[in-house]
Amino acid sequence: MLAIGLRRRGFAEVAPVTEQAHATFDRIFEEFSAPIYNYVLRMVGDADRAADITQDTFIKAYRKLDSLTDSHATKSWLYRIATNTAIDDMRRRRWISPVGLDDEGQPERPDQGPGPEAQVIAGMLDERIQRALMRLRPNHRQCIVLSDLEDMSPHDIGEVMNLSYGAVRTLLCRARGEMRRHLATEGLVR
Amino acid sequence: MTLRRGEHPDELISAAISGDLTDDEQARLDAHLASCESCRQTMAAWTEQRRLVSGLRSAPVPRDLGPRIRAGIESGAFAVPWWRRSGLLVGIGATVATAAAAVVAVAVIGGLLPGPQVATSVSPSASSSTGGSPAATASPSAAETPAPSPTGPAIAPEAIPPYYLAYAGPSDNVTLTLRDGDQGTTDRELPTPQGQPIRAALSPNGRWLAYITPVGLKGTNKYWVVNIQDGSETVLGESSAIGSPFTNGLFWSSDSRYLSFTLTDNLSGPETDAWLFNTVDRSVKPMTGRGDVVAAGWRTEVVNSQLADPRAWVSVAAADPTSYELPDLATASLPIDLDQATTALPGVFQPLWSGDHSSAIFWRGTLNPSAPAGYEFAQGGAPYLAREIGRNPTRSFDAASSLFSDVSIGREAFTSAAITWEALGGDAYAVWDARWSGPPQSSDGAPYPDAGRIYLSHASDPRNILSGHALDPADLPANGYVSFVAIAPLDPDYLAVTVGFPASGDLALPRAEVRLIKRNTGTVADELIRTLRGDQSGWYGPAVYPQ
Repeated sequence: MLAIGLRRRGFAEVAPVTEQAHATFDRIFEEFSAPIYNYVLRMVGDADRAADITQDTFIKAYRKLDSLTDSHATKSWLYRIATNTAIDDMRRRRWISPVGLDDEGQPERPDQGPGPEAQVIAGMLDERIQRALMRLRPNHRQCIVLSDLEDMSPHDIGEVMNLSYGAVRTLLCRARGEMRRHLATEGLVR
Repeated sequence: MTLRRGEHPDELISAAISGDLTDDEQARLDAHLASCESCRQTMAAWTEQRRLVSGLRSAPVPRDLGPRIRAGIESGAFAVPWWRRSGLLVGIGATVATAAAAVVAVAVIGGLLPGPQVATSVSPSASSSTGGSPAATASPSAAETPAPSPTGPAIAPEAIPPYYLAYAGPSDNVTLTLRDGDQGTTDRELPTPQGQPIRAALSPNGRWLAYITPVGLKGTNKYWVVNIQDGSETVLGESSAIGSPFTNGLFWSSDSRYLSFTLTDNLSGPETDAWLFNTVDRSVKPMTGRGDVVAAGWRTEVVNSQLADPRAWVSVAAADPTSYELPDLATASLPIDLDQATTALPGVFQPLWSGDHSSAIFWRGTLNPSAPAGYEFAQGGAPYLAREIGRNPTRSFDAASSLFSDVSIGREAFTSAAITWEALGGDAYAVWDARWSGPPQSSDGAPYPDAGRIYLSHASDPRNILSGHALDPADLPANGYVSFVAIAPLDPDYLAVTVGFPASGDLALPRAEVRLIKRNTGTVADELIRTLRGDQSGWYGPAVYPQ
């Protein structure tokens, strides 16, 4: 539960949110933190970035809580926030690949033991699938993940991606075609 | 969806995988599959790939995610862009994304918050051969300064705000501060110089700021570097104030370890050499000792998708200039005899490498080292672009093309020009103050090349610069001049342009402001996003991004 901190001093100073809103946010966090984190992880392929984006997603959600008028739309509403946050992050990082640096610019030596990535994306099969996913263009990756991992309907995907039903079907078809080529490169499909 | 003869119903197959077919669509698909082996294979492959993706294992949520969100909400902190997250650092790494060695880098500015105020000062003269010992000086005040009120509408969400210097205040208490272009808040109070900063460069890791200020009416410029985290300052030296952009460059190595720059001593006749600031031991030393050398950029080779140690380049500023790659500075003893250079490129002057390390802009032509305004090209001088710099830069430089590709150059010359690259993996570049000695070359009689315009292009654009690459003049004030241009890393459509205004009198403070401009294409006009300046009259600029 996230409620403890939100009821502490300072919370009310940030935004006057009702007790009911506290409860709503707690419920949203409890139900969706893991799915959102995993969705973002599949989108960006990096555990640290996924945590940052998930964090931003929930802070944004908290601040926009009053815009959530239909509780049945919570999932698509939250995924839409996560999607936009992830896309913004990816857009800023185009041509970017994170490599850490120590204090004065010396490249950090990679840890020889299993790192966070290895713990998160464990197993060769997952790794190869994730590699294929990362080769997709972002909107194709998003479509595949929402459909095949999150099991969303084209209608729901359209809500998240702000696309029409027909556009989602077309996009998903193209994404599957592209994904097939990348999975074939990994030797996972023909 | 209606099927034409010979058409494969991929969209129906995809919808079938998602369980999203109407009865009618299912019937048509079934009929097609019965007679189409190719589509049966597609159906099988897509079914399998859905199974594979849906079987991806869930990763556990980081245990600190809840507390982080809670802390973020309580503190009011909100979605700080990744590259500005506090506590992170600007790093440089690389993978080769394309055959053109599109090097990618990551950069996060962090630690731009005031910390303990410890200052050291090292003040070598331009003519001294080594840097002096650090000596304690008065620390700059940590007093809060009022936040300026940036004018204009809020920065568009996608625009990356720069940092900028502000030299402003009452005439008896002018201060120099580093400000956040987003919030307008003061991040760091800097030692007060005798004049406004005319050039500045932020290290790639965001931890060091180098800048140049004039020294009153002495006719010299002072070079500074400040550690943004601890506030300590180092005076790099003093140099004759030459107007040429060839001598006021501040070049950070891609690993943020070194800064190279040029100092000129006119007391004993013009003596110009390249100097080096080492961030590790904070030493200031001359890289060369010939008296006719200017600093150039750093070449960083990409080896196995990683950046190798950057190599410093310098140029001998003779009538027929030559550029040299210096040996590894970690082991070389300074100053370096140019006979020890690992590469020498005759005819090449002051190469500057792109942020993605794939390209370089340099100069060719006959240089006049003793021109009244300092170094400038006398004949046939022009900037050139060399692409795909690899392990054999000689070959790449030979294949370079003239930067202003629609300008015919005979005996005329670009006497000089100011050039800046997009940093951190980018390949955009901007050219301004391009001084052309020949007649205008535009068909409509308008000045072209125009020293008052900014030209923006990309190394990946085979046209290099054409007259159409100029920014709209409407976004710059008619009574101002372009003092400095910084390109937003990763968002090279955004420029932070420092515009200076002529002083209204000898005693008046110089005035400048920073204009954030979005470059648009086609028939869409460029857009002035915001102007950064404070409540008080003063010099606001240069704006900087990590170099």
